[in-house]
Amino acid sequence: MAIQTNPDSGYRPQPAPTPTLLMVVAGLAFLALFAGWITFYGWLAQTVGGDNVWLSLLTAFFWLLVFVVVLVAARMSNTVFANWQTRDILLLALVAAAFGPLFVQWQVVYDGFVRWLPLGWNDIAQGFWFLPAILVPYIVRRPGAALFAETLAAAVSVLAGSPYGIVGAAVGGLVQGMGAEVIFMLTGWRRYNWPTLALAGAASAVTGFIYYVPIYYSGLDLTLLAITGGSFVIGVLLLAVIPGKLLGEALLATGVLDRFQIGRDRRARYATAEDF
Amino acid sequence: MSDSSAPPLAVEGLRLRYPQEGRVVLRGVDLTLRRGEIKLLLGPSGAGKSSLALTLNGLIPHQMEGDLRGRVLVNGTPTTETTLAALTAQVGMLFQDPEAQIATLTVVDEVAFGMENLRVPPQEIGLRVAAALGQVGLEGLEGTSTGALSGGQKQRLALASTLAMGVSILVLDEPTANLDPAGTADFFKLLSRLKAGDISVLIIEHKLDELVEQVDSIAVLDWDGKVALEGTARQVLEEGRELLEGLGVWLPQVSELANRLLGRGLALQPYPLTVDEASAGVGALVANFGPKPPVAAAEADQPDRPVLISVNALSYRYREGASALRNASLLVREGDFYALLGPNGSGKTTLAKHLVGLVRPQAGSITLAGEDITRIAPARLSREVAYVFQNPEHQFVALTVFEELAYSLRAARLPEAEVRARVERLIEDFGLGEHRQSNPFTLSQGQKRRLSVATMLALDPRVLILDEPTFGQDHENATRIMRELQRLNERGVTVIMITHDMKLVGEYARRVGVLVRGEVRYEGNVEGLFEDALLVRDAHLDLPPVYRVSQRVRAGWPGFPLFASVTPFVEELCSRSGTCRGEASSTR
Amino acid sequence: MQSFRYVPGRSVLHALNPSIKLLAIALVMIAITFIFDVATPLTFFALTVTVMLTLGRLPPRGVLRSLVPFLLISLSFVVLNTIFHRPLASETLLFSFGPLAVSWEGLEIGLSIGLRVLFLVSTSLLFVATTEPQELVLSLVQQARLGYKLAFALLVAYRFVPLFAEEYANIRAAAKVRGFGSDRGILARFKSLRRDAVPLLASAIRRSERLAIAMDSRAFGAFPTRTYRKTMRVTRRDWLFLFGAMGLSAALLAVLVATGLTRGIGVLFQ
Repeated sequence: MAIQTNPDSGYRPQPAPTPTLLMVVAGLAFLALFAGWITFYGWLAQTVGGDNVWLSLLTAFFWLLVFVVVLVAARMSNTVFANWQTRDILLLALVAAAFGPLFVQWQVVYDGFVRWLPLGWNDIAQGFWFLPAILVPYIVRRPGAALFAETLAAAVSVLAGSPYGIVGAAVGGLVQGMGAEVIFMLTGWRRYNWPTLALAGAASAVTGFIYYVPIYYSGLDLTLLAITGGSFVIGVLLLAVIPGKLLGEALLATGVLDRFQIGRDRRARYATAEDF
Repeated sequence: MSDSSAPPLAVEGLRLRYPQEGRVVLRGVDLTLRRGEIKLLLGPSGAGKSSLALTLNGLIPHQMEGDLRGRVLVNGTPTTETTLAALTAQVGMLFQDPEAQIATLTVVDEVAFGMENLRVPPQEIGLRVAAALGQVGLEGLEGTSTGALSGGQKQRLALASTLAMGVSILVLDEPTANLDPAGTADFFKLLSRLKAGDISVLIIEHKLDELVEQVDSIAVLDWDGKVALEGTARQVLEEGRELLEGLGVWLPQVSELANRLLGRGLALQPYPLTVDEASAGVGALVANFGPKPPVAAAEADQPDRPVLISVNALSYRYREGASALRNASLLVREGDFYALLGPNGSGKTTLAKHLVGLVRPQAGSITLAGEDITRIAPARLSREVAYVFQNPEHQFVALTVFEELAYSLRAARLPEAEVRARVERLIEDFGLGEHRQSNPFTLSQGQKRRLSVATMLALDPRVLILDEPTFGQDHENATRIMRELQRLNERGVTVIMITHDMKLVGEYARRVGVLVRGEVRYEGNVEGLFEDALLVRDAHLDLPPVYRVSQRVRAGWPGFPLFASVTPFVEELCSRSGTCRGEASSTR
Repeated sequence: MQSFRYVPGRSVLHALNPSIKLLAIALVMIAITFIFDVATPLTFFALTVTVMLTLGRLPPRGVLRSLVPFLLISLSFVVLNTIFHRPLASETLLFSFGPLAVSWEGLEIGLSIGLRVLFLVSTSLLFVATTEPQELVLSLVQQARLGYKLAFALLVAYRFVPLFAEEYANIRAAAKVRGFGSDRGILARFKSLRRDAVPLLASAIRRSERLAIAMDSRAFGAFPTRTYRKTMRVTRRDWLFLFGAMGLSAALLAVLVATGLTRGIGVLFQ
């Protein structure tokens, strides 16, 4: 009962593309520039102190960086979807529709964390806002899944009345998604085990945090800034990576994901085909 | 590229295997659809009808995984040798869930959707939109939001979208499954109009009573994934009756009547497919038997049983302001088999939700065995009144069938031994033994429905409410569920079902309540409803075919009784003939 | 569930090209992230509301009702940033309570960020209320060069939101008739959601799979591009709005700077 490898015809999904050198370099540059920016920002804030001009220039440079990320994402949206099936696209839409409104309601829980946890640590609650960037790539397993799942969910949350608005939520979602996407790209979009997901979550948390510094956290001192950044990472691991993977596995067990890449990957290990 | 002499669709020795499951679905299907023909495809659920449909416009193998052998030719070209775009411009598909066909937000955008995908220039799209909406009778609704349409309108809209792409072949997979009887009748009328416009149709459908007059031919898929029978409707239904019964597919009710009579040694001439033919046939039989004084068999009305549920002047208004119920009053007695009827959106579900405490009365009251329902603790109410939703998946909370059944029992803190015993009995009663450890979501449609009913019975409720209990089930499964309900009812459980299926009502229900626009328009026995032609029309219902037959016969033979279901009809004719063989079977 | 929604109308804002409108709003929003005083975000917030009511002809009561819930949220940002700002020695201490110390400068920064949140929300409201979703998607594809499959996903997501709410209500009802109590409070809601997530998503995925098949049957994705019934154009009026918005913002900022009300990022580290 061997699997027939040469049927007369049949749709077979394209394997995920191997990232080119340019993609790897660009992805790493994105992470490095963001991480470098916050370091420099912190250093400058301490050394030059009250010099408005330098800090403003640095903030302007940051927005330039974000602008480039947005452009890259818009460009990607024209190419990465070629290999997506319609069901993958609708899954993206569906997760966005489910999580967008929840993102708005989560604000209440987030405010609750402010009361329970010491300064800075409350941002552990941020983690939930990163869940689509883990769940969708875990199921769809194609280039762009993390980036666009997070972007779309955030965009829907704007439509549903997110207090973070277009720049805070929608563009923020894009930056967060890009952070996770880079990690998935480095595995060639082939690995979706715990370490990869955790790393993707962490990268997403770090970029997301840095993005929010000039918008919402510029009032904090440096120690608190560091605690907040750490809380983002812990939060994403606890509230996005773990529940995201578990939710994906629970859905897989119901059989509704059989026709998605996650289902195909599982079958590749167990399948036996009836003679034909 | 299209060859005008070739048949629109030709399937040659088609085999299909799903690589995901390694399962073979079709094993050598041969089928031809001629130009301007309406062909009906029958088969039990799981025989591969829907899979076959997906190969006809090339979705398998162009978009979906499937190993194919043999060929599907669309207008003479094999699907594997052309593009999906070219195929979708020739073959239009329609599926059963109206909600899952609509991709955009307004009517005009929806009609344009397919054309835009085919890169039709914008100027041309406008012209074709108007034409397509005219074809399906939705003209003037261009700017309407798709969400505001009824199920029937949504189906016609989806049809318009494919017609605008220029298709000449339609493949319809249970297009009326979610529509009420009036919506179904409209849709079938539309089909014959389209046929006149030279469109060929392959339709998969359960509702044969309405459809059989319109189809030119029938093909039957069997469990092996092969065409077991093909021919005109008459050939297939008459000559293939044994095979069809064996496959457990739905038949026209009059054909069912004829089959049952044949089994008892009485033949209707000609073999009936329609109410007209059956009326003639039964009329001829009755004439042969000669006049026979009808036996005064009218069983004395049972003494009134105590009232169990009393709905008093209930009104309900949605937050958006629409009225769902207006001053509705109903009585359900202990041990009733009650049917709640009415058009889509008439308030049936809202009323039923009141009965389980999902909705609190805004005005009016409800009592259960004399007790105000709002005073009953939720935990006790959910034990006494069980509700089976239309979509079984909504009720699943556990990861295995066993856990699913045990859930409410454990929630009610029964001892573990008792839980096990009860669950095992339910598993036995509902034929779920092999699936004890399966995930509920992975069951077949029939099994899911049975499981959802079984879970609600775990705590021995007094009242069981079911929303469309046979929805999406083939005849075999539907009968099985209804028999189970009947058995429960005989054991004293009061059953309330919401349904559009009047055959089901005629066969099982003893009392009915009819809601129209939130008002109770009728409450009483089934016969009383069927006699009120005006009400039947207002409530978007239809009469069971055998009832219409008995009405026609009565027109010729005054005093001939009226029958709401097949079995008593057969018994009456048998007792009149005096030549019947066989026992009065309890089947069907 | 959806607190913002499109309000049909025929105003200037409604007639603008959605991509240009989006760009204009984003640019003004970004400009505000450089500013850390109370007057600037307050002025810009007032400006946005004025534009909404005049150029957008939105009903004042509707606007008010949409914004009120966010007063509370923006207040929480005020508190957060005020408390989290560690006062420097040079600052005017208002009060201190244990490790908590609140300075006048800190309060100012907190208020600034709180008002900034309110401003961001009001611009979102302006955008959502005056932009027809289908037109937004068309414009994102035609002007912003977004891939049409992604743009379409946004449209479908928008359509799915109310369906989800409906489906969720169904599942909650089903759980309730099986004897699960109703959940009060938002945290309890999130807890019950954990139980309902699988059935909810599973049935939604099944339904979306059916929609995917219906869309594939109508050639969705058959070509790398598609045509559109409607063409979104960028007219002179759109450019006028974009530059007008930027010009007005710049002028406002200039006035605020001239009157000494504006303070930049450096205020944080003085």
